[in-house]
Amino acid sequence: MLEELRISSKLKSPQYIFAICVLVPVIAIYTIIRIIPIGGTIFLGFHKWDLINPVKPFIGLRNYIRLVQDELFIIAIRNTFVLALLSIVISLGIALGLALILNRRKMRFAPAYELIYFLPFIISWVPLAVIWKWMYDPTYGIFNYLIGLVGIGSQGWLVNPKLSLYSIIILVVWRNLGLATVLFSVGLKNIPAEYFDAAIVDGAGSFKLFRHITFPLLKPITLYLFVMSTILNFAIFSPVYVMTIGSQGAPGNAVRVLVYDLYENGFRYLHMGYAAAEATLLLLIVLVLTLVEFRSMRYKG
Amino acid sequence: MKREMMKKRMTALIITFVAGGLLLVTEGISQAKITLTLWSGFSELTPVYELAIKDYESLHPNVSIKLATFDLRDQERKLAVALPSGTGPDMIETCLFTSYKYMEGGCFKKLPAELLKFRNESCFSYNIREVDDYGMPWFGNVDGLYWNKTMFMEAALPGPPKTYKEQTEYAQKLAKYDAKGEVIRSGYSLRLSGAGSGVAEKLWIIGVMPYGGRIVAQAPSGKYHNGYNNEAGRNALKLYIDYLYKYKIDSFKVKHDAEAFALERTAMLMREAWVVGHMKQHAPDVDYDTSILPVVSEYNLRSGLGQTYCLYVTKTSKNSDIAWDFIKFIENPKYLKHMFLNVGWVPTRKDVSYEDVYKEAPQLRNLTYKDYNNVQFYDPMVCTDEIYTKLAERLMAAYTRKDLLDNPKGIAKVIAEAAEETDNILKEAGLYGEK
Repeated sequence: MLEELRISSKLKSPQYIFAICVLVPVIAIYTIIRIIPIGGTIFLGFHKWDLINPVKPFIGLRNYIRLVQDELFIIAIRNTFVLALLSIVISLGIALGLALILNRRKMRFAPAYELIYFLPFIISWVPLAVIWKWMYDPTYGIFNYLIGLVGIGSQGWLVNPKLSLYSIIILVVWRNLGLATVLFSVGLKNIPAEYFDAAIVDGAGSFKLFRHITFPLLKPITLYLFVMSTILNFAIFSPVYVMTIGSQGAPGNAVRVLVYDLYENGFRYLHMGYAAAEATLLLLIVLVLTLVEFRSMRYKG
Repeated sequence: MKREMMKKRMTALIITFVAGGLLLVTEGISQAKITLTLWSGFSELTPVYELAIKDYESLHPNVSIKLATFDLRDQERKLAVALPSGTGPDMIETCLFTSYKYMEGGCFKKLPAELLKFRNESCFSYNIREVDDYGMPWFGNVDGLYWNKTMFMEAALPGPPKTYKEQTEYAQKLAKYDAKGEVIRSGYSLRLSGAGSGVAEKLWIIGVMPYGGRIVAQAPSGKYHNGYNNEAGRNALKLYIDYLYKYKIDSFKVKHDAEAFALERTAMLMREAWVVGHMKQHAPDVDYDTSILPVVSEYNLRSGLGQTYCLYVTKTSKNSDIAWDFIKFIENPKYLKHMFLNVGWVPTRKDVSYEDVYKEAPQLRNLTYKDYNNVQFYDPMVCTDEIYTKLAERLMAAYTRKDLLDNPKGIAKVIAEAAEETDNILKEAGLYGEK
């Protein structure tokens, strides 16, 4: 009884009222723009709806059953995993290397280099993809010019289905490199120099310094980058969409990623229920991957 | 006395307020403009629309028409969201390929009787679809063969090919190669890539139609089934594979399409009439001409795709009378000729003389279907885009397969699998009918 009274009086205190007043609009907005649409999407996944007809018959798990048998969905999953995995591993690997170089004590103009690496990340995907489409042009593109200098014949970077996904991975790596480099640099700057000095006194070499001091202390940033990159790369759409437009564009299936497939099913073929089921599976995949990453790289303070 | 003075003052004040109010309301009414919106999927048409809108607005000062042009694919995406939700524009320009599903969904208003009569009397027959009583035909895509006169002269070729046999021979002579034997200039530019249905559409026109096939054929029941799991479909794919790997007329490693033609990176191209406008704008110095498409001698089918872009008025338009009036206004020969000459899209009106346009752009003269005996159309069904886009994806994968060269079994397998997918899409849509 006393406890209840205490809680009740606490809730009436000005601090609590203020906190509630501040939180309610945020929670309301979050509910409207996040929770309700996610719930609506999950609900729609059990229905057949063509976007035009107001009738939405309930079809149970049929969309999910069709999805797991859908060749294009399997291609999209495979391409998304390849794109996400390769671009994360390559961009984080190169970014860590660059951050280590930029954080050497004798390195001059390091902030300027960081700024240059970071620039692509602040440019929107669409203009970037349009520019890269030109760079991949088979006749006038710079890539064919460059490989021509070392005696390699010109390639259909986007048009050739065997190359097109990798061409997009190169673009994704290039764009994301800057953010990862800057974040790794911040992490490296926060490692106290005394740790390295003490280890050097104990006779540790460069590799041991990296393995036992640098890498473990960069774990929180590495985890953050892994999680963020996974979410961003699984949700990638704009560069794929732009790169496939027009007769010089990439074949859709060769670069088909989950969101692109979802877009085609939803807004091109008007299979909204089917696309909603696909979106729900995408949500689950990203959720599971994020949990796996958290578990495997658990940061213990 | 005082009370009377007060009364007079009050009356004067009320009169002043009422008069002022009336003046304001009248001014408001005279200034209130009726605004209509028009969405187009072709940015190159902007000058044509702008000219017509300017003229229309000067004749109707109380009307304002806002034009929004998008990339064709973007427009399709916007329509998918806007039309069912009733947030679309008053007028849209699109073709049956896209519009049929919205017709079925009741998103458009029917053509008024007067415009229906006008359409039936004044448009080319291949621009009219019986199923479409909603859109006013505006322009059509008429396919033609573009050929580079300079390259033909250099190769001592007499003129555009009349048969497929000639086309193949000429293309081999016109293609150029580097020291390693790689194509650096294609003899004939095929559509080999790009998302969407374009790749399948081009195979349909270049390959399937001339051999007497179709992508979708109508069953006796009125429903549909694939029309290419046959000799026509197999010949079509064989033609592409032969052009790529046997005759090396084209390659994945060179530029394609109108851009390649404008940059003189290809000698021949099958494309719609808009390429004339493209060439005028981007490559005015290239010496080229057009011709009707060649035929496969054994079949003698002069084939082309009859696709018409119409102007529709949406169900939610509050000013449909004005919208229809504007649509009739834009069918004026002044705008049709402006579009034909400067953009290249072929007007649908047959009762207008285009001689003055042909004088300025003689290449446009051949871009008509008057001598064609096999003009085919997209069938009116909701899953058209899905059928052609998914077929296109399969074709793009097949085009990279060198092992399909001289491999009739491999080609038959690719075509049979694609045809099965087409039939499955039709079944899912409830439109499949046995042959």
